[in-house]
Amino acid sequence: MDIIPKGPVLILQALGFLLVLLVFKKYLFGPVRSILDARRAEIENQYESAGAQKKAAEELKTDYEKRLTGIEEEMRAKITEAIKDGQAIREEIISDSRTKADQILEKAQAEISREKELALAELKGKVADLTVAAAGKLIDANLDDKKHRDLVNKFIIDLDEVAR
Amino acid sequence: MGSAFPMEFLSNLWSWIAMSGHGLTGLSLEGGENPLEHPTWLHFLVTTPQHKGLLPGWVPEIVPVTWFVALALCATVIIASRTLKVQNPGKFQLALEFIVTSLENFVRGIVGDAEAKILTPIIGTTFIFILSLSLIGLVPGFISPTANTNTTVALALMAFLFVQYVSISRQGLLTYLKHFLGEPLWLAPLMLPLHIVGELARPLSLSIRLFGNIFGEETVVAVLVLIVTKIAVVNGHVIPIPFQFPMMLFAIFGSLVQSLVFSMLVSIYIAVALAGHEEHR
Repeated sequence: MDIIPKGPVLILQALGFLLVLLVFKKYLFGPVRSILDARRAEIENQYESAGAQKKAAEELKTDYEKRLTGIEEEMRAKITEAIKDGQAIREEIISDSRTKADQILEKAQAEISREKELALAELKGKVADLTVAAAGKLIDANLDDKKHRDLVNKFIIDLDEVAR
Repeated sequence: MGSAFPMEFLSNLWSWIAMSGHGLTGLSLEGGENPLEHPTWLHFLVTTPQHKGLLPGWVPEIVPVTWFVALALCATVIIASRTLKVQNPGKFQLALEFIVTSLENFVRGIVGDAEAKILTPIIGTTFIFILSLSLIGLVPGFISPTANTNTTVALALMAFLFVQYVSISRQGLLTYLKHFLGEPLWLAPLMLPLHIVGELARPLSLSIRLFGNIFGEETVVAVLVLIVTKIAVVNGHVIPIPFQFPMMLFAIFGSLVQSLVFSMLVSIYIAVALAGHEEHR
C-alpha cells in the first residue's frame, strides 16, 4: 500500500466530499433549518392567536355578564313600574268613587234642603192662613183678606230675619 | 472433539505467541498481501493486475467506496428532504432535525452565533462524511476510505484552503501576510518560517491523525480476525470466534471521536481566523 497520496486520487476524493457538501447544504441543512424556523414561527403564531382568542372570550364573557345584570335590572324596573301603575290605578279608582259618592251625597242633601224649603214654604202658607183666620176671628173685623195676607207674610219674614 | 477443543486452542495460541516474536509474519495472508486491501463489494469496478474493471488502473478501491458512501448519503438526504413536514414530523425527520440542531449548537459553541449559519453545513458535512467513511469499514465487504492517506490528505487540504480563504477574505491580503511576520517586526526573519511551518503543520496533523487512528483500528480488527484463523483451528477447521468484535465496538467509538476531533479542529482554525480579523481592527 502506498502511503504517499496521488494527485488525481486526491481530486476524486475531494470531489466526492464537495458533492456531499453541496447536496447536504441544499437538501439537509437548508430545508431542515427552514422547517425548524417555520415550526418555531407557527408555534409562536399559535401562542399569539390562543392568547387573542382567550382575551376575546373573556371580553365576551364580561359583556354577557354585564348584559345579564342589565336584563335583571330592567326586569326589576319593569316590575316596580307595574306596581306603581297598579297603585296609581287603585288611587284613581278610590278617588273617583269618593268624588262620585260626594256628588251623590251633595245631590241628596240639595234635594233634602229643597224638600225642606218646600215644606217650610208650605208650612208658612198654612201658618199665614191660620193666623189670618185666627186674627179675623179675634178682631172680628172685615179686613181685606189680601192686606192681611201681606201683613202676615211681612211679619213672618221679619221673624225669619230676627231668627237668623 | 468437545474436550480436545480448549487444549488445541491453547496450543495454537501458544504457538502464535511464540511466532509473534519474529514479527507478524505469521499473520499475513497467502501471497504476502496487505490484509487491509481485501476486495470489497465494489471490486468489480477497479482494475488490478489480475482483473480488468471499469475504472483505470490508478484508481484505488477506496475511490469507488467513497463515491458509494457519498451517493448513498446524497440519496438518503434527497429522499428525506421530500417528506419534510412542519407538523407531525416522522421519526426519521426528527432524527435529521436532532442531527442538524446538534451540529448547529456544536458549531455555534466554537465560532459564535453570527458565523454558525454559514459554517454549519461545511463543518456538519465534514463530520458526517468522515464518520460515514470511517464506519463503512466496519461493514463486512467494505474498507474505510479514511484509513487511506488519499482521503485524509484531500479532506485536510480542503480544510486548509478554506481556512486560508476565510483568513484572507476577513482580514484582507495585507493583514493576512503581515500576520506571518509576527508582532515585533525585527523578529520577522525568525517568526516567518515558524508561522509558515505552523500553518502547514495543521493539515499535516489533521490528515495523519485521522489516517493513523482509522488505519490502526482497521489493522487491529484485521489482525484479530487473522488470529482466529491461526489459533482457533480444530482438526483443520477454523472455529469462527468473533475475537474482533470488542475491537469493532471500540472502532465505532474511535470513528466518532476522530470525526469529532477533525471537525472541531477545523472549526477552531476558522474561529481563530475570524478572531484574528477582530484583533487587527
